[in-house]
Amino acid sequence: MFDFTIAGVVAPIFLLVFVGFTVGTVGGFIGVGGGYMVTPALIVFGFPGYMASGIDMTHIAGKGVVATVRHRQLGNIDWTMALSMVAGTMLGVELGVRLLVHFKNLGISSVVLLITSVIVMFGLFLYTQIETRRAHVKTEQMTRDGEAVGREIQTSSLPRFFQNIPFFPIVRCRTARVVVSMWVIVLVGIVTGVLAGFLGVGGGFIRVPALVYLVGASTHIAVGTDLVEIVFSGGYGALRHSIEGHVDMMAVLFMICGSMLGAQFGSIATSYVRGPAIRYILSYSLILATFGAALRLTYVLTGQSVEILALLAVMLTLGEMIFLCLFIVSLVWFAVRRKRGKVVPPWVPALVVS
Amino acid sequence: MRQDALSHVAPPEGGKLTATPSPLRWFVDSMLGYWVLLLTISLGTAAVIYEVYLKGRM
Repeated sequence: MFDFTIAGVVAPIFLLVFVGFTVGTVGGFIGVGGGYMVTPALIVFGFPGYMASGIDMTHIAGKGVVATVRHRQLGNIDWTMALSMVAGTMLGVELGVRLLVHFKNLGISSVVLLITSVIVMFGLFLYTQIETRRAHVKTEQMTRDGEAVGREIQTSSLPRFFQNIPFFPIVRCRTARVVVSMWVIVLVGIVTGVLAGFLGVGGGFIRVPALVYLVGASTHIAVGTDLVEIVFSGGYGALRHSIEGHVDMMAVLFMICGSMLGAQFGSIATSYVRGPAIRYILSYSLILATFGAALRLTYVLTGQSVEILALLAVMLTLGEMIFLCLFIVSLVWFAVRRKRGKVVPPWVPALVVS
Repeated sequence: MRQDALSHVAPPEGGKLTATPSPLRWFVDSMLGYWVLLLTISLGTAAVIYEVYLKGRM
């Protein structure tokens, strides 16, 4: 057990290391940080809402720099788009942090953060389900029509609408091959920045879909460009949260240790396990995390008197993370066995790289 | 001796006797079963962690 004096919480170290490990591992599969599951998890484990947001934001900032360097080497960053968005992102983060301070002063930061997390996680679940089904239908139709199925399957007509908005200045993003009004990019930056500053997340789970479905960038360019924003939003957000006294550096340190290990394992696991399959499973695990956050919310709203709600909230939130890690670890083990010619369960080959 | 041990198993079409797979194999051979197994372990572990480390401290 460790006494996190600044946060005013006594919690086991392995819990924070494990949360960091899960986020690091999962991040390798979904292309974004996975920070959206950290803030509600920390609140469920007893951290005050504003502390959970500050700790999450600070631990993300360091990860963003390393990932950005890697994506720059791969040519996945559109600097014109990234730098156009920075102003909006910084403004959004400032607004988000101020909003959180306002709710903290009212004494309802945990409640508001839990409500927001429930809405965001359930929205993400619906989005993943709908997009997976639409992409599946489109792939089947293309296969039936004898068309070649590309790496990217565009199912939205929104990029055309947003690219036709005529507000000056129009920017030409050469790497992303997109010509669009700068205000569209700035607006995406502001909205995702507010969410990032408020929830303490990187914002990739909103920014990447927004860049793909609104601006029209390809997924790998959206992920690379998003990471540049995370460096700015994470760095600035960490500074602002520190000034407001929302950061317990010991908690951040333990989480970074876990996420470093998780990122290493996640990068190894992606070479054994198929990403889309994990994303689909992840969307179901989001439902568990959503119920976990909702139960904690009910526990707080009922004056912390119904003990069973706290138990169920921890069971679902922590259980979902343990489930994800166990599933990915066992899939890697099955994939290694399969490569060595040993017997594996019949459902495994569809999920692992042959 | 082997045929005696498996005398309760109905012979399939080919006339050869095969052992009935253990019901526990469902937890590994079926993806749904595997998910149920992992989910039970995960929720159980989380409940133990709550009881040992978090109860009364949250």
